[in-house]
Amino acid sequence: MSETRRQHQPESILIADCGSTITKVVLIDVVQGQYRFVAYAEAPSTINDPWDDVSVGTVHAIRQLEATLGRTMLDADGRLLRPETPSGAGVDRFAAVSSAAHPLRVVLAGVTAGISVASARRATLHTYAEIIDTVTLGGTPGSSALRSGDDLINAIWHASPDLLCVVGGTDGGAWGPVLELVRNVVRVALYLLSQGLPADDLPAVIYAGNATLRNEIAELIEEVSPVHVVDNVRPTADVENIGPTAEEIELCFYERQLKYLPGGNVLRGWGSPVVLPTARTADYSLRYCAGAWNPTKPALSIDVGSANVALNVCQGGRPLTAVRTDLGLGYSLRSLLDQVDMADILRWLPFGLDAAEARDRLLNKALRPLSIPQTREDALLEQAVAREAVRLVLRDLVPSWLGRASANEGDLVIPPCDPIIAGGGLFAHVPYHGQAALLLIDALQPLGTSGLYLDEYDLLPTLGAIAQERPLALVQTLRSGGLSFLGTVVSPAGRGQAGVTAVTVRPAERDREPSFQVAHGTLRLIPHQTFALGTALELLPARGVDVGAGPGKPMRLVYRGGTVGLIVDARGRPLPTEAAYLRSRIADWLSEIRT
Amino acid sequence: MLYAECFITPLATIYRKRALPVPGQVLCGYGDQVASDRVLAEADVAMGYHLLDLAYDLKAEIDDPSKFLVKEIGDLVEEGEVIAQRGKILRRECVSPVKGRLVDARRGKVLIETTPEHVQLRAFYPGKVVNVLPERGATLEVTAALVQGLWGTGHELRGRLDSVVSDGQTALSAERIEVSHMGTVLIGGRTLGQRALEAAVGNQVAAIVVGSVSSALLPAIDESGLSVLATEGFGDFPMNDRAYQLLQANVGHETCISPVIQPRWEVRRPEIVIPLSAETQPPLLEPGAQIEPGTWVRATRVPYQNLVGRVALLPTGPRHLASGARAPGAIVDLQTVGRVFVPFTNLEILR
Repeated sequence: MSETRRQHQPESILIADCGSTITKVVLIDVVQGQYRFVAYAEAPSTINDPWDDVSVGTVHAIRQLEATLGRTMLDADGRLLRPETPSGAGVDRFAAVSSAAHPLRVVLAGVTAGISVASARRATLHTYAEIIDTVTLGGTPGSSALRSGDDLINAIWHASPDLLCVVGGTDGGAWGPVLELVRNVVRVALYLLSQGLPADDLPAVIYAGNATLRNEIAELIEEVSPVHVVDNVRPTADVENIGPTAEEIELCFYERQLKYLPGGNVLRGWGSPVVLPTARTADYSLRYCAGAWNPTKPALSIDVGSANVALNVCQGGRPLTAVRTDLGLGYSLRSLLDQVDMADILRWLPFGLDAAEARDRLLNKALRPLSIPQTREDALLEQAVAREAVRLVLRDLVPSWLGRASANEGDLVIPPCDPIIAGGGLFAHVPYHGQAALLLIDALQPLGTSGLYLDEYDLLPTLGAIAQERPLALVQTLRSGGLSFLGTVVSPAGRGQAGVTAVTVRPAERDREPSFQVAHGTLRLIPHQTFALGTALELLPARGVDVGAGPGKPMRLVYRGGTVGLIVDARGRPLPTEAAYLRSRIADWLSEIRT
Repeated sequence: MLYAECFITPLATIYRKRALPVPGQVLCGYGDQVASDRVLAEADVAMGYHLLDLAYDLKAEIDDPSKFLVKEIGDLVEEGEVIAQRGKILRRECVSPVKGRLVDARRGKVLIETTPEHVQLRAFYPGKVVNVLPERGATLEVTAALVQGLWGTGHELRGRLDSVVSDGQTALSAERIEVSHMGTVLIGGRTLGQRALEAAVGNQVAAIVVGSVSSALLPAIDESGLSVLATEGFGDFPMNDRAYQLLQANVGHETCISPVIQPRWEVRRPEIVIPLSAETQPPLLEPGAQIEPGTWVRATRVPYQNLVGRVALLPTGPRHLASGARAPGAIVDLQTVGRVFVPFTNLEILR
């Protein structure tokens, strides 16, 4: 059979996602002429000591899959059998993604800590990167102290970053400070690094500042190091253009970190030509979802992992990503706790927990990232942490996504999205779907009507690995129910007196029963078997309340069911976040949502 | 299956890697028997640089700095020493702000490298070199008792093991710490508080090993500079009996304590290595143990956190937890609570 012909044959596909804590494997196969999700298995990741090889964990996960299915996929030496044999052993294709590689260590260099550096920071959020220092002629962000030229040079030299990203100035604008920065700081630091490091270990350099200076800057830097010149992150004061810089940073992450994932060569030997970044493959899948689900609304995915939290949005064909490598429910939990007030976490709990004890528990979780909550209290504590982590990432994405600052809670209210897909270790092991739904609503606070999905089997990032070569497998697998549909959430805009009806939900036809009144300040679940699937529902908002059609105007909604059901969230946007209010109400909300 | 493991072992052969943070010169060879204070490798670690603006200091346009330098490139310079000057009557000078070396001069600027720090990497563990790491150091084979903990802070150090508690259940009392404990690695029982911490610092104790510490005490521990190792992590948990008994049995021995812990992207267990001699080489400790009926395990999460017991049964399929989630696991006879189901993810094998 020719290779060209074979590419069009349906085939079995095994995809591995090597996370920092858990390695997941997903088997996709053809059932009755359609690609279907067949099985999922997981094993502890083995990127760290004593294994230092992600393929070990991958083999263990595949062995689990073999035990579940009674199907042979590996030979006796742990090598993947390819292609699938007539007897059904092995698989035809293999692909791998990973979020386990250490993040790219980035130093940002700019004239001031303001506009361009802020844009460059947003560009680094596009992939697994960690800003280890920011050197500016005008002081360090968050600090009033000015650093001398020597301090700036030594900061870069001591950091010895993987990437140095230089920004500053608008196109055609002032050029003196940018040249001063490059001449007297960047170039000297690179020269010093070049004296002690092999050429391969020198930082990559990106220049994304004033375009007028491109040639001059390139000439100056190339005396000591190669430089990639890309479009200015701030061509004018009010226009941000982080795309080219973000792409260059992601390429750098791949070339410097992911390519050298310990054990990645074994996975490539199994037929995965490259190991792709998980956040990027999730983005590929989400782009499909954005087109196929509801092209009028943005699609959003959130991945809460052990070492990272990633948020992807695709709106009008425009994808956006924010990855925070300093937030997570395992390895990054300690740095998360450094950024979030414990009182803000505890306000989401329906029971009292001493702040010191909560910190002890969470720090122990950071030391044992593989462990899962055994009690309801522990599960709710981790979910409370996740709410705050998602809010932090949302704060990073809102300026690029919605074009507004994210200074206060009101700025973080997001438009209706469909789908909203939740994945990652926390969601994969969430005890109740209702808890996942409430967490998503509390953390993201979408307005209007949104569809909530749970990616329990890691399909979004894994299927994204084959999105380019096997789009049909992606489309058919997601359409055939690979994701768990939790339900629909309707979140009206407009506030009113507590206890007074904000929205009435009833069937649009026949006897219009049963009817549900949802009062201001409350959240109500209309359980999943209340109406037949496809029933047309009518949403009747009170005066001044907007369910999506305009203040006071009714709207129709097709009932889509879901494992949780239809949730009407009349608690208001932004959700009041005073600790006393949340702590007094969270038990009711959890109870309402049947967890 | 892969499971978490914790080594609390009275006698074993272990390998430990010793490496410089920067490239340097290796001073040992394969097969060498090394004492703990033997230098395995050394390097000069640059400490920083200073960029001096000659044009500013000499108040002149300077195209070619060499015309004004009174030192050559590569010369050593003292702090305050003149490195460039202009004029005779109204003389302008540029002086080095540090002791170091003049490394470059161009475009009106001069670069001084601060005197590098000479770093020596010592063996730390007595043992045999079984692998030389070019430019970095060596891997050592060590015969020792090993106690792995869960959390630690401070520096690696050696000291005589001593004890001031009669069990692992009792918190360390400040009154029990005396000047005779100076330089020792002290077994501290269940946990330590502010007063015990202050007493340990006051009596120059080298390190303390306890069951657990409260995270509320972390700022004080960090400030104290004391090396602390907690076998059970954060909170208020007694030291597990295995660890306590093994440490107690080795009181008086020289001990290597490595409280170093957690680079952010991995969890490295802090440990106490007690070098011992053996007539025959004990077995090599390797990961990969399996959970079977009879395996000693420790539960890692509430409500059974840090309780130790033996696996009784391995039920097939996942079971419901109190949280509502389902997970595969084992039935374990845990001390004090009896027979309970614990998910595999929340168990670690004690070896």
